Amino acid sequence: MSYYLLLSALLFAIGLYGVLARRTAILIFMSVELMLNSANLALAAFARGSGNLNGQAMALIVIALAAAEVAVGLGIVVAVFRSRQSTAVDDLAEFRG
Amino acid sequence: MTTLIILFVVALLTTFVGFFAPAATTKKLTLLGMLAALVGLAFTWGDNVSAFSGLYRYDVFSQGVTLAMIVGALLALLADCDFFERKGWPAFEYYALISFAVFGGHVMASTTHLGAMIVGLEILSIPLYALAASSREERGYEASLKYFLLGAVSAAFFLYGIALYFGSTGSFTLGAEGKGLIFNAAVLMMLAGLAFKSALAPFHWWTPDVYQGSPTPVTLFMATAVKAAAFAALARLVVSVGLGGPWFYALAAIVLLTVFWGNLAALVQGEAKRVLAYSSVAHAGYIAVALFGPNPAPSMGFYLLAYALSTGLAFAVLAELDDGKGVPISELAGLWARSPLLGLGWLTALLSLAGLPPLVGFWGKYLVFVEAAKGHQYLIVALALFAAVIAAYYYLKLLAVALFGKAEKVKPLKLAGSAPVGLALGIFLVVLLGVLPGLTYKLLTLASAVVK
Repeated sequence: MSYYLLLSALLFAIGLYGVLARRTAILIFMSVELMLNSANLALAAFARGSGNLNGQAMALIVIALAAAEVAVGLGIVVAVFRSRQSTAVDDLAEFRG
Repeated sequence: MTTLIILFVVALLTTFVGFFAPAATTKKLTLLGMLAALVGLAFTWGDNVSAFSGLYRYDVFSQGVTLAMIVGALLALLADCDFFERKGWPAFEYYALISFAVFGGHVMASTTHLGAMIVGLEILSIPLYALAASSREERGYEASLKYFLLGAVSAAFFLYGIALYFGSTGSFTLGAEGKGLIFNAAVLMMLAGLAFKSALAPFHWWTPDVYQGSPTPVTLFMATAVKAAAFAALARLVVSVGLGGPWFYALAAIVLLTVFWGNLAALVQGEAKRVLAYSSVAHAGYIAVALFGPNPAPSMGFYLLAYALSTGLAFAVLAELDDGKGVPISELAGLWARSPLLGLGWLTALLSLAGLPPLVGFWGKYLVFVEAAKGHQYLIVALALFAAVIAAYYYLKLLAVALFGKAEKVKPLKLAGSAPVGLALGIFLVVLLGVLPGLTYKLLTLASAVVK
């Protein structure tokens, strides 16, 4: 089980790095998805390790939540792209201070 | 249960009615639905129900938080934005999304099960990502994208915390016994995720941009209802793990950083919505001060309601002035002369936010500070009080501009639609609960503690 947990922690760290280092909305968003799925992996691993299936059920719920988030999130990204022809987050700097 | 069912039915109804009825009808329906939810809340007040095998926990704390959320939603529904109205905003989706967000917030506040909590969190957050962009303007898009990306990251943190919590305790219910490295990491990650949502420093950087860029009624809703729901979850988490050991220092650092950062940053802003955004960060810090007391639920519930009323009123005034480009502070000049009702609303809202008696904001601050003093955290109370004194400076500055500033535009403002009703209601409640705080505080003390 601990290998799966290590893998999930690694995936989470990669996702976090992606969020901090990437400069386009889509790539940041993909990194977030990686973080969510690393949590799913951890849930499944814990459920398998302890024989408690609640963890698996939770992972399924999380997949549904992530899908809902993708729907709205990609909608927003498309809207931003239409109005600016770019999804680079550095361009989104109207507000300061 | 009644409140949950009413809120859910309202959300469904407003969604489907909107397809064939004009937006004005949907608005009336949503208002009626929120009033019905208030009635349902009143009839079930004091109940302590657990349903769906423990997934849903309806106690006085969740009732108080739901009350604050519904008040915020009512003010957001009543605040008409003249500028946006001329462009056909809000469409009916605005009302449907607000109803869904209130429903999600209620779920989030009324559960001790982490799975139900994150589902509630998402039902609350996803409509708000869309609402922030709903004016279809550059500024709204920027706010929405920032809110969405950071909100998704915070949800990921919260979720990973849940996974670790499950791994170390074998349960998704708060209050399970746990210790060790994994448990500590789980609680810290969940704290970070919820601190994002409730805008506690150092997880607050999205707040000013998002509050400034969203249409003002949406900002109003974010500042009141979202904060209330996030704090409900935060309180349940903190109370269930207790304040021994590492959390104490983590939380104390977060609280002090929040009150000082929020207030000091608010001093140097040139835009009224941005000032209120930083003030909202600072107020999150005051609310969290209550967590250091032995029984944080009643004072926290009261503060959330007081804050929803005061900041809701302030944003409702700004909604009238917003011309789609935000409200620079100079725009406030001569507000009193241009419209006495707006002036009066601004006066009561800001004095209440600054915490001057006899307005409701004073009692909120009083109660949370007394609560923390009961827990013998005098240093935190003293520092938070000091920060509140700094805050008085910028509130009074905003007020002075509105009362004594020379107006560039002398044209009187005409209030349209339901805005006067919302403003009058807000002013009335801020003053009434300021004079008679016992009215609601008694209700909230029915809860002996946040239920574990």
